Amino acid sequence: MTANAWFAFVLFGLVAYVALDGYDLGIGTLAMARRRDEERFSLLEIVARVWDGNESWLLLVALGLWGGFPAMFGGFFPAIYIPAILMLFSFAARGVSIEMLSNAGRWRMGWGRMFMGGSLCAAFLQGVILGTFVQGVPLGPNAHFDGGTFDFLSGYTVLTGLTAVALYTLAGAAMVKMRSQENPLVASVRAQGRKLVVLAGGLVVLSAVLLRVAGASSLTLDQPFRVAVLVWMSVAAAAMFVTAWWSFGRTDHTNMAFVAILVAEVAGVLGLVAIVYPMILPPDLTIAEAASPSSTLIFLLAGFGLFVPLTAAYNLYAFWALRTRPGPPSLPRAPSTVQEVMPTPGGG
Amino acid sequence: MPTHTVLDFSRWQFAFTAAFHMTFPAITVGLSVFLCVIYALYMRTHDEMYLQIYRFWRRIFAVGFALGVVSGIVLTFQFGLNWGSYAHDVGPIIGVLIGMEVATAFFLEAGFIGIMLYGEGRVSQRITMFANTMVALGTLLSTTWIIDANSWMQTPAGFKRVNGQFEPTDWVNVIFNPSYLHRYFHMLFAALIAASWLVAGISAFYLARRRYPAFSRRTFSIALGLLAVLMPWQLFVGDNVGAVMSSYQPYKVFTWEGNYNSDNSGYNLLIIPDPQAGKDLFQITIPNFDALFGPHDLSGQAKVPGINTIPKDQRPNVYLLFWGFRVMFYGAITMLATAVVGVYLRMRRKLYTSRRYLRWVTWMTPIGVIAIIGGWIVAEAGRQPWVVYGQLLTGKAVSDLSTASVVFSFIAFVGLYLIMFSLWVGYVVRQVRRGPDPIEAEPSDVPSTPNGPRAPLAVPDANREHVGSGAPVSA
Repeated sequence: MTANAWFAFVLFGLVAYVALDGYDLGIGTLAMARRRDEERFSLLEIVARVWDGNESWLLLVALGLWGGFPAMFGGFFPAIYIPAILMLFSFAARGVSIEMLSNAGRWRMGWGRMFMGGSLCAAFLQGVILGTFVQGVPLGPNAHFDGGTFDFLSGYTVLTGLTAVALYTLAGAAMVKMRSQENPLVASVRAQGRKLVVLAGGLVVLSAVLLRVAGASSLTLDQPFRVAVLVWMSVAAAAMFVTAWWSFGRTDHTNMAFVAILVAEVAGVLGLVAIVYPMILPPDLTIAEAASPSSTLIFLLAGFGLFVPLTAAYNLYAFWALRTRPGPPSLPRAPSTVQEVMPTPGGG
Repeated sequence: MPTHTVLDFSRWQFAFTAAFHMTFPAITVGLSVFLCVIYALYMRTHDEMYLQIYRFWRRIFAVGFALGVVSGIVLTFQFGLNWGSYAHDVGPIIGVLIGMEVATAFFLEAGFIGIMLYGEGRVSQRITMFANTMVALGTLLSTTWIIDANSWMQTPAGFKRVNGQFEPTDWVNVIFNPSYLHRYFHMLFAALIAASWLVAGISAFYLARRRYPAFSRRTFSIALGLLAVLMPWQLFVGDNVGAVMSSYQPYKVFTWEGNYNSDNSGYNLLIIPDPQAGKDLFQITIPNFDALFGPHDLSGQAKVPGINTIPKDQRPNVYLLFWGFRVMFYGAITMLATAVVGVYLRMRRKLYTSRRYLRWVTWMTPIGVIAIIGGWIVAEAGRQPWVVYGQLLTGKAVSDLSTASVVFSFIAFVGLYLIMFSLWVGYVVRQVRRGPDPIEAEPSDVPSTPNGPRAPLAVPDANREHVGSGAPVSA
């Protein structure tokens, strides 16, 4: 019971991470398609204020697994050693370049490449890691990893990597629409958003279909309840993709595309759970086997139950506070002059 | 089974990435408190000098904070990546303590740092102040949990072993394990001290060159004042940590004292050990002083047992321990002496003008960080061969990875971090060269004169010094 409650909490953290850092990384890849430095810089500025907060949720997921399901954390992570290390390098390069760029107050190509490349690689590697997970990681005795270094690498994990890039970039486009008033940059991003809906949707469907092959040894669809959840989640995700496509065609309903993609991501995570539950690491490790003793789980549930609502509250507040427009021009300029997303040449 | 190479490279990698990470919290924990105090002074006095100080140090804080975040994520992941067996065994305790750090501290910092860095002009001064306070509180809470987790590994308590896994039986004993509070205050003071030397050193650099005199006098005075108070306390607290370690990890203490035989009551200033032969090849000793420093024997007769009393398979690395400890300890003595001379010069009203002293303090800029890293080497290398003292051997904690992947990641980390470190140093140097930005238009609720009425030190040149010397703000 406590183990399942904590599992639900870790899932919540995972959804929050994908929802938040997903758009954050996606805006980095979106910047690659821009040609003008001012446009790139105004995209960067959406990320600059929030990236470290968004990345925190990944730590929450990692530590939620470590504290609550140490066998999963200790068994799965060595299996993804190479992609995880490369992802950490990407994060490092990206974090430094974001700070350097926002301190410089304008776009510089060297740092900019690090920012864009770091975003792309981190997104791709997260998709690879997810693919490795559903593909299944067999563990040795005492739940210790004893597989090979490159077991993670397969055609399927490359596909899930590309899917993650497309999905995150789509979320990034939706965030650009949500955070800014209509202008030529946003109009162009909206047009890209429509194409990304099609691309990401296609890749998601392909990943889902090929899952039958890639995860054949570990995943089962025997019970009707699993099938029902999966079907409904697929319907929901499809409906949300259509909604996003529709919303990208309009200048109003600014939040709709982002909310639709968020719901689609939640549906995707729940659909995945419907397939793997009660495994926490396919093919063999169950939630109950991996769980910490109940003294730990109760402490975790109480501690996090107390603090995470607070966390959500002040993160929303920060989001809201920084969203408001700057006051009259006489106000002091911030060290890095943060403008709304507008490609005015003097904006940086 | 993992090979020896995998174990060694995993250890080197963790040590290297941890030392890199530590550099940034060592600075940002103290700076966040400093910025909080400076902004509070600004709100109280409306003296724009404080706003200028706040904005300048915030630039240095921001990038250090970002580097601390990314390098901290690396550490968390490494627990699972390189130390999967350790992660499996200690997860029910350490996973929770570090998890609490994320829940209470990390999100607090991350939630408010955006407002702190980008909120000016968007939110009121009160909210900026609130954000400053929350960021500072976050860094302090972060220190709280991280030191707690590490202290539990040094002096584990409140658990039982079930199939090898640690199971918490009493959370109060887990959290308030025997070394925790001593080590917490030791680290907290160390962080405040390291940031104070950074502020003092850069202010001294300006003062020695007669740049931004009003600005740098204010920060120099605050930093050295704080150091004069903190340094004696830190030596006292550090001595307590040593006493706790004497009872819980005596081998660590024997090793940092650097005697092989148990017949020396003197303090070793310098040794060249020969661990194979079990003796010191060369040593310089102050007679009777170790009896005083270690067992607090005023007669100077007490002798600290030697390394030869430790079973061979439990001996920590004597080079790392002896020299790590000396770096920290000699650093502390130098810091104390410099702070005391600062008090003397202040009473003689020469604090801002003694060129020799200013140049000396400029060289002291990184000393706090260096001493902290020395201290961590003692704490971590001295716990070996255990990862959880007396319970779990480091050799049994490592993941079964291929040698090639660990060698690759270690080399890549060294390369990447050296680049990042030099970029960061370059960034700080550029910020120092650029200097504080002049204060321009102000919100209407603040007096618009550059120097408020309560700023006797902000002599007229506070205005003049900005002309030409402050680089134009990129706009």
